[in-house]
Amino acid sequence: MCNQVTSGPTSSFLKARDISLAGLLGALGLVLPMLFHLVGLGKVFLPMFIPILMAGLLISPWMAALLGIVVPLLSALFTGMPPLVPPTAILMAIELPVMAMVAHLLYRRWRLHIVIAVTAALVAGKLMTGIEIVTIAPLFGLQRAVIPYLVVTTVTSLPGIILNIVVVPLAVKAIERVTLVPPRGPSGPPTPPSNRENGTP
Amino acid sequence: MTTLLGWASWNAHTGDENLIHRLDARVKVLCALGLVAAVLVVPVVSGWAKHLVLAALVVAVLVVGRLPVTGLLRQLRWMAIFCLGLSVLLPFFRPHSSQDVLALPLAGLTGSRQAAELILSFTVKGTMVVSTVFILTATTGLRKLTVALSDLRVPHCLVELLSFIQRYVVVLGKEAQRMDRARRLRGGGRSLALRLKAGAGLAASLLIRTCLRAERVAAAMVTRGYTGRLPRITQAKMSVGAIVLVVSLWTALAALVMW
Repeated sequence: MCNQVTSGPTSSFLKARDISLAGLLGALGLVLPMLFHLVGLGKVFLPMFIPILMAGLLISPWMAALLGIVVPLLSALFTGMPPLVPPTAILMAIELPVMAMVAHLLYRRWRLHIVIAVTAALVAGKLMTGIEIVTIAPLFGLQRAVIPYLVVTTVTSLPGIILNIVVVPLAVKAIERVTLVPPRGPSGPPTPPSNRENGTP
Repeated sequence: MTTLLGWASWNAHTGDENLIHRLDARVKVLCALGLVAAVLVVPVVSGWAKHLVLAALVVAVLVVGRLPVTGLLRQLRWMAIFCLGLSVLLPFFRPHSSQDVLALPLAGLTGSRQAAELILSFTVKGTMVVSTVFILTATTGLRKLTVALSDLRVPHCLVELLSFIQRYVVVLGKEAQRMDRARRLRGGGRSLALRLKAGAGLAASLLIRTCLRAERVAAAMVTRGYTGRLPRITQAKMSVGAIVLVVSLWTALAALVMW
């Protein structure tokens, strides 16, 4: 699943960079929600979404999707947030990979503007949540609660959605400026940062 | 920040070494899997006696492992709130038939028997699963768990990702600690606005510095011959005693389920 890059010295570096950056963003996905929950703002600002969206924009789609599955479950196992029961962690483990994949597809493959990619990824994530709730709610006999639940969760997470749309593009652009993130598009070797800053390819 | 680092070592409850902590992590993972499977398979209402046995087992391990009850309660709080919320909504669940009507001991209200049983099942099974997971994580820690998963042939990229996450949590924490100390030494933190401004700058700087560090790590990995797979972390073979323990627990659980 993780071996989608072709062999060669450059691809070795890309693989190493992917796993290394994924580890960093995964750690951020565990630490950020803890910091937000300390001041009671976790549910409103969606802090776990930030590193996963960044992963979708910066690293390979499969690794980002794997990160989207692992981070909420790991956080649930070790910190109890998001909870395993009710299955919020499991719902997030389905929602976050979708977001990461959509962000990657729109930004890296289709070369859309980063803000559009992030917004569309967040919308895709919410749609995924909707599908999950529609599937799960009948098990509890709560068919009528689906629409109100979705409206309430979307409205309460609006500050988080706005925060994500503002912070993620800024952070990704800053990282792209200083690191060896490969240029957008299906392939291509990484460009050294000094050359990129000078405007030469 | 020190608390964060303490948590980041992922061994918050493993300081108190005892039998459960010392047990082979692979045994703990396999036993936890067996227990979770048994809990999920056994129905709560018709199999309440079996659930009592399973609960006794979980409590026994909690007591022997001398695990903090507060830690477990913290993990259970969201489930408690959710189940309490569902219970309050019980009068609004419409019964499917006359046999499904459940008389509630409150102002002559009625609810659905099926819904009540579902909530009860959810509460009991949820409590057991969360407790089992808590025991596993609190007595093992992420590092040992990663090695155990590697030995149990969990996909390689998942194990690699877990070990990197574990290392970076510590790196992030230490880097943040250094930057916070530097900020305080320079006299930052008088007013809230100043602190927020400094905090935002700190977070941005932390992100960039750790990304650069991640890239240096990647370069170092390639220099040391990384070709896309880290060498598999392996432990010594499982002892006969450990295998006997896992097999006997699984047999006992299977017997309990089928009884």
